[in-house]
Amino acid sequence: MFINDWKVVGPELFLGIAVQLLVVLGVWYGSRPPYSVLVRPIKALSMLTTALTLWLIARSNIYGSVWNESFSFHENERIIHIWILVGCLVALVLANNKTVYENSLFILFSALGMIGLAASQDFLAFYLTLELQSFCFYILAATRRTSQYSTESGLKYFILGAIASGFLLFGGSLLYGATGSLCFSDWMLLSQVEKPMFFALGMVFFFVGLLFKLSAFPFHVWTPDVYEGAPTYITAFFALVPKIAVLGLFFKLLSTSFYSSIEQWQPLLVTAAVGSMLIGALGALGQQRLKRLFAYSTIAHVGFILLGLATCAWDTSFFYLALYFVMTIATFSFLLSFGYRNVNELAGMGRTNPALGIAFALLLFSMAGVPPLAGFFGKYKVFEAAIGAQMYSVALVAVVTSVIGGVYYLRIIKTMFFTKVEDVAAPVASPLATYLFSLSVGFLVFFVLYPAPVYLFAEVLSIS
Amino acid sequence: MLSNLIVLPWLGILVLAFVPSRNTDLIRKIGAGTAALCFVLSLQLWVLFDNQAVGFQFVEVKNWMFPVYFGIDGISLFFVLLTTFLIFLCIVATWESIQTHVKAYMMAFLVMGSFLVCVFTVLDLLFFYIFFESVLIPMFLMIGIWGSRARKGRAAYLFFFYTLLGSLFMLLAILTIAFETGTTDYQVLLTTTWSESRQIFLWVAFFASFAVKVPMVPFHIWLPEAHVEAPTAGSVMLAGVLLKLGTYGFIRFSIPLFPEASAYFTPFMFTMSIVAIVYTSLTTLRQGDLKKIIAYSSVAHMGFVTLGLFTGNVVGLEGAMMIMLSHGWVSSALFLCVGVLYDRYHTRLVKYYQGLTQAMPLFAIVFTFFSMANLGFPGTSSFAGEFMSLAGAFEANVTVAILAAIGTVLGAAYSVWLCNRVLFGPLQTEVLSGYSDLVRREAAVFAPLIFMTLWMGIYPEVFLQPIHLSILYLCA
Repeated sequence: MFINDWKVVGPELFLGIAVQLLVVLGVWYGSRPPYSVLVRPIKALSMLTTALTLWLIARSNIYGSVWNESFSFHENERIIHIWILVGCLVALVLANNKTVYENSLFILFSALGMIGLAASQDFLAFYLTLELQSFCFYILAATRRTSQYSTESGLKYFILGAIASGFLLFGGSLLYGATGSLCFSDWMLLSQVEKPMFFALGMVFFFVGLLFKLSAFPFHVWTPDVYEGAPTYITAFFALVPKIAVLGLFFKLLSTSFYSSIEQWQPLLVTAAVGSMLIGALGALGQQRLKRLFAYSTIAHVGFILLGLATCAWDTSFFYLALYFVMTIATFSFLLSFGYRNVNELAGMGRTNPALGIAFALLLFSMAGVPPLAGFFGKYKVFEAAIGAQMYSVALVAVVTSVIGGVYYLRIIKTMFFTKVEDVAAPVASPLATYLFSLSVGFLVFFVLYPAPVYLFAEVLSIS
Repeated sequence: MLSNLIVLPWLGILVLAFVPSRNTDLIRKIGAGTAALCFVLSLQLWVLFDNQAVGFQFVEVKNWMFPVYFGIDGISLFFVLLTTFLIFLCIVATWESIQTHVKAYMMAFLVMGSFLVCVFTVLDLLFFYIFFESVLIPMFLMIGIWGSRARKGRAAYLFFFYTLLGSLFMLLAILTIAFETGTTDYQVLLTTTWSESRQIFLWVAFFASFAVKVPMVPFHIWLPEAHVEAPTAGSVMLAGVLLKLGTYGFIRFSIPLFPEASAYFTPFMFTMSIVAIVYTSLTTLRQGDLKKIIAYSSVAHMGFVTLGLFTGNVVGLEGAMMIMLSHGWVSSALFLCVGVLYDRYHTRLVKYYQGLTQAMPLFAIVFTFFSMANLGFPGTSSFAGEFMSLAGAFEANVTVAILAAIGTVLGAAYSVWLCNRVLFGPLQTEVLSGYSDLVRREAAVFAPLIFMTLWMGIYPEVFLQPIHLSILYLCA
């Protein structure tokens, strides 16, 4: 029995041990100058480790719950894990850091945390893995020690994150008090029998923590600052990966443990979703800084994802997240390959590099939800879910916010193409990021021709 | 057949992608060649079209997530032809006036052509929406990149957001339909009936989208802006085809899918049409920009179209179809005329032009001809359309017909006055120096338009035959 547990977690075990070895390697060779000598090898080794873990997970066919039902590794979780690791791989590819090797390791550590988070079946396991990833994130956000913005970002993230964790723990203790168990599946069983008043209260506090991690309204305040302050590839990592793990867990909780309390959480989630859409759409209107703008756009996208959850249309959420994932990869690989920071730096892009300019314009059209690009289908599915749940007014708000959202995406396009600039030097692009960018924009453009795999992917994930 | 017509422009784009952008002449030739090929293909549709068959022809199924049908009937046949015809003409007409980003320009045109053919042929509500919206992307870029003045950003925005906001309501309606019937297939939906209250709700949502596109009067603000700022070819496409998307939507979806709601809203539509006709005709009189004059007169003509569409009788509906087609070449030709002037003098203000007859006789003839066509002169295509539309309105409601007929008088007023100001009087040599009449390429562009206008004016039966059965089916 015990041996079997280890077999199930084999890939994770490999990841954990490999990261420790890399740390040892770093300490061994990195303790004397020049410190930067290790950056490239460790990054390459991290990528290799991630790729190997991916391969191991893809190959592993042993499913089961381990360690007293604390973690469950079944098909769904495995797909989420693969998704998380792909995200980490993308972040590592995009990483253009030249001074500290530790960042690659922190990305791997947090990947370990997120894998555990998505697999957790028990409040304690959930909390510990959540903190593992969160601590890595705080450090990553503050990684540019000399920059005021980066330290501010790390500190803000840490303090607000700590408060969210506090709420989470409080919620967990209330739920424990109500049910006498920390196990998610026990909550499901017990909540069907009888629900003490503070079961709902605990659930609400629990959601506070999760919504914070998803950067959803009303716990979104940290997002623009953290996105702005952190180095861009770290921002890309924050935007890409944690959402997957948290959504995976959120889905599991809502569809099992808390499903019988749907009357209580549905209005809460709808409020959070609508609020996120509004904040995301209105907040980005006046932004000049690209990263802040995309932070708000992330909040808006999270609103759409949450609306899918709130209407119990799980596949909608995963579908939207998959498209969001590709769009985020495209956005950040574009930003990283040219190093743009402000919207007006993009002026004349359409002239100096028309091919990339048009590709970026298509990406923005896709984010604005203009058909036939992929982003439209995500929004369509969310609207469909809202209409299906008879929430006509919510659907109307979603429609209006997506129009407002269009304004700022189009503003970027306008800056790129419509403004006359004298002569701008054609920006130098980093090849790897540009390939990633072209690949993901290609996906968004040609999605309409053969969308079935993504629909199927979301469908498979939503069947638990 | 249809899929060739849709795929061909994309093949052209693929070829264009491999041509170096310095080689502008080759790029233009490839673009024009692809467009010409599309036009020939669509002519083939007309030749093979069976006038005696009820329902859709050349039907094709594409397996998307669900089967999606493409097909044409009498209503959509001429829109497809109009699209391919105008795309080709536009590329030829702006052969020299577009000098920047030629490759992207050609690509935008071909993309737009393909999407427009899709809009007119697809028999699925969701995909109608998708293609209806996707036309925004090339048009937005066209106004913004090749537009003329500083206000083009604003114009592109207005164009984009008016349409987007309007059509998202249509999207919600489509979702409601999809949710309640489980399909968005047009042919299936034709057989479903809705309760009257539900019909009214859906009709209004569709109206929000189509009224912006037509445009009907309170929603028309974007049109003059977009027309003024767009490049000549953009204006031609906008007036020639894009405006018809709205009226096509009415005749294809609103009327057959929600017949009771359409009957319920007929007085409303009549009122809106009369307001559009009279108000915009009066507005046209006060404009000083050549393109704005034609833009506002387009709104007035579209008023005649919506009037005809909701008369509910065959004559009125066929009249509406005739006006749409006729407006397709007449207003396009007028925009091309303005383009001819703009290419030479880079201004569109009426006050700088005077007495052009003396220096540009050929141009004067063409301009006068299309102005006359625009006011609905007997013997031109507009006359056929407006007469039928008014006759239909007369049958439906005499008062409405009389009020709408005022529009024809006002139309004559602004058209003749415009001709008078631009063409006659002494030459303004201190402002404009150096004149050249139409060159051979420009004359060649106008020739087919003149031919079509006269043909449809003198013998409209050729155009009515394919339309006839579809309209009859709609009214029954």
